[in-house]
Amino acid sequence: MGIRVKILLGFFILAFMLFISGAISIFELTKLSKAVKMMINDSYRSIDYSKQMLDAIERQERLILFQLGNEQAENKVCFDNIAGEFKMNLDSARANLTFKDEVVLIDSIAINYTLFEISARNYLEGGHKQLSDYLNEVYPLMLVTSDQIKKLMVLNQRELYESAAFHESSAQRAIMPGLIVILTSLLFTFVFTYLIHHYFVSPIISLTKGINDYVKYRKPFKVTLETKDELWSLKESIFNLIDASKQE
Amino acid sequence: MRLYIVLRYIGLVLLLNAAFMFVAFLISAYNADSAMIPLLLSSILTALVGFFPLIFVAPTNDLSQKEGYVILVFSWLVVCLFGMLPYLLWGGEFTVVNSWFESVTGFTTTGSTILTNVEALPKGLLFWRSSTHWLGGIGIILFVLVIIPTLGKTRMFLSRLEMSPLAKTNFHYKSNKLLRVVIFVYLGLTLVETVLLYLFGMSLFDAVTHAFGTVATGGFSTKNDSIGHFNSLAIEIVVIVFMFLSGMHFGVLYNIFTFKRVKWYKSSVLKFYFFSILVGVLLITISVKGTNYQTWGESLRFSAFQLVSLASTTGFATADTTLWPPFSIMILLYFLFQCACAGSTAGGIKVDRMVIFFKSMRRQVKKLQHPQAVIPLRIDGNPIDEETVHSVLLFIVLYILILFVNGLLITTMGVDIMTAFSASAATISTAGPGFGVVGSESNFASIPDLGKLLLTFNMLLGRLEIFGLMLIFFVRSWR
Repeated sequence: MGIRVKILLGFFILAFMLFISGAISIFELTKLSKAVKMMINDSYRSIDYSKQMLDAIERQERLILFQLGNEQAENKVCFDNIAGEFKMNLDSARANLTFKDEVVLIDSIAINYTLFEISARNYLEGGHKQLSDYLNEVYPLMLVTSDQIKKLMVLNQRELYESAAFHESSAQRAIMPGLIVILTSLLFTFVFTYLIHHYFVSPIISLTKGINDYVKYRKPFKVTLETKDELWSLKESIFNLIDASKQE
Repeated sequence: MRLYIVLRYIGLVLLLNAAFMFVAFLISAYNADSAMIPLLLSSILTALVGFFPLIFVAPTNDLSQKEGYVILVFSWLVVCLFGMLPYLLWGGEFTVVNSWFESVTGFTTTGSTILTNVEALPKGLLFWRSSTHWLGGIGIILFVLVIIPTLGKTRMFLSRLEMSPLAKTNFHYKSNKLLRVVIFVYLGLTLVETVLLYLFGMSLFDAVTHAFGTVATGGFSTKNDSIGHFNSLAIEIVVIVFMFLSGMHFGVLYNIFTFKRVKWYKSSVLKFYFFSILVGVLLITISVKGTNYQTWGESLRFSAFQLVSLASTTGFATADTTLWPPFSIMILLYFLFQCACAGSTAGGIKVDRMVIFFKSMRRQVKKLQHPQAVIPLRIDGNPIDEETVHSVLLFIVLYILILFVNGLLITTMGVDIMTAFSASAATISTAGPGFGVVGSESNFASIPDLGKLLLTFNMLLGRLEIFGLMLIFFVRSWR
C-alpha cells in the first residue's frame, strides 16, 4: 500500500470519527432539547388546567353564596356554564397526562367534583336555603375538590422540578458519546502521528542524512527502509543515481 | 523497543474485541433493545483503532521478551479500556468508574459487579458482559494467536507469556499443539455445558451466557439471583461439574477427553484439588446443617455449589454465604486463596503453588531433623528446582501482602474490615464475591469509587499473576 493511500485512509478514519462524534452530539442534544420542551409544555398545560378548575370551582362557590342572599334564575344558568368549563378543563388535563400519579388525582377530582355538583344543584334547586345547610353539605365537598386540584398543581410543579434535575444529568449523559468519540479520535491521532513519523518522516531524515554523508564525506549510501512504498522507490532511485554518477 | 510492533498486536486484539461487540450488537438488534447503538458505536470505534496499525506495520517473527510483555500487559489494559465503551455509552448505573470496574471484572474473569439490578440490562449488553468473560478466560492474546495463522515464532513466544508460569511446565506439547489443546478444551467445555444447560431448562441465551461464565471461571449471570434464580438441582449439578472441570489443567482435561494413556489421576496437584474441595464441602455441610438448612441434602447441595464456585474462582451463587456460620466463612476464605489449578482459566495462588508450599514446609521440617541432608522437592517424581520453589514462596508472600495492603487502604474509605479484606481477596484471586457488603447475593456498588479502582488494580494483578503487571512499571530499566 502506497504512502498516499495510507495517509488518506488515516485522515478518512479521523474525519469519520469526528463526523460520528458531531452526528451523535447533535442527535443526543436535539433529543434532549425536544424532551425538555415537551416536558415543560405538558407540565405548564397541566398547571394551567388546574388553575382554571380552581377558578371555576371558586366562581361556583361565589354563585351559591349570591343565591343565598338574592335568588336569581341566571345564577343557575351561570353555574351550569361554569360546570361545563370545569369539565372541559378536567378532560383536557386527563388528555395531557405527564406523570403516572396524575391519573389517580384526576379521577379523584372527577369523583369529588361530581359529588360537589350534585350537592350544589340540590342546594340551589331546594326551597328554603339556610347557610348552615351550605356549610354542612356543599362546602366540605367544595373544599375536598379544591384540595385535590391544588394537589394536582403541586404534583406537576414538583415533577417539573424533578424532571429538570433528571434532564440536567441526562445532559451530561448526552455529551458522553460525543466525548468518547473525541477521546478515541485523540488516541487515534497519537497513533497516526507516531506511525507517520516512524514510516515517513524518519525514512526521509535517513535518506537526507545518507545523501549528505555521501556528498560531504563520500560515505557509501546505505539506508534501510522497512516498507516497499514510494520512499523505497526514492531510495532505489537515489542509489541508482549515485551508482550512475560513480560510473561516469 | 519497537512501539509500532506493539501497536500492531494490540490492534489485532482490539479487532477481536470489535468482532464480539458486533455479535452483541446483532443480538441487540434482533431483540430491538436499547444497547443497539452503544454496541454498534463501540464496535466501530474499536475496529477503527485496531485496524489502523495493521495497514502500516508489517508482521514480524522476532519479538523481544520486553516487547512481548509490553504487548501482553497493554493488550489487557487497552481491551479493558475499550471494553467499557458499551457500558459507558448505554448509561444507567454505569458511570466512568463503574464501567471500568465492570469491564475489568469481566475480562479478568473476576465476576464482581456494581450492578444492583442485572436483569434491567438489555440482552445485547448482557451478552457483551458474558463475552468479556469468555474472551478474558482463555487469555485474549491466545485467542488472537489461534485466529492468526501466520505468526510463526511469535505465536510460540506470546502464548508462553500469556500462560501461568506453572502451567507451561505441565504442557508437554509444542506451541501450536498447545494452543490447539487449550482452544479445543475451552470450546468443547463451552459447547457441552451450553447444550446441557439448555436441556435442563435454561433458555438458549441464558445457557450460552452462563456457559461463558462457567468455563471462563468468571461468574457473570444474567439474573439478579445468579444460578439460584433457576432453582434447579440439575442445572446446579451441571454448573458444579463444569466449574470443577474449568478449574483443572486444560492439558489434563485434553488427555482425559481424548482417552490418552496418561495417568492423570495420579497427579498430586489434581488429587490435592479434588480432595481439598471434598473435605471443604464436607466440613461446610456439617457446619450449615441445622443452622442454615434443615436437611443434609440441602446442606450438601448449597455448600457444594458455593465452595466449588469459590474454589474454581467462578463466583456464581445459589445462597447468601454471608449468613453462614463463621467456620464456613473461614473455610471459604481459605479457598479464596487456594483457588484452582495452573493451566486453567482460574486465578489466585493456585493449587500447584499450594502443593509446592506444603511440600517445602514438610521438607523444611525434615531439614531441621537432618541438617546435613540434601532433600530435593519432588512432585509426581519430578524434581522441582530451587528457583521455582523460591518464586512460589515469594509469590504467596507477595500475594498476601498485596491483599493486606489493598484491604487496609479500602478500610480507610469507611468500608468495614470483613468487606474490605474479603473484597481484596475476592478480586486478587479473581473469584468475584466476598463477604459482608460484597457477599454472594449482593454487589460492589456501595464501595467508594477509589476503592473500586483499587480493586480493579487487584484484579489485573491477579489475572497477570502479579509479576506480569509489575514488570511493566520497570520497563524503562529493562535492557
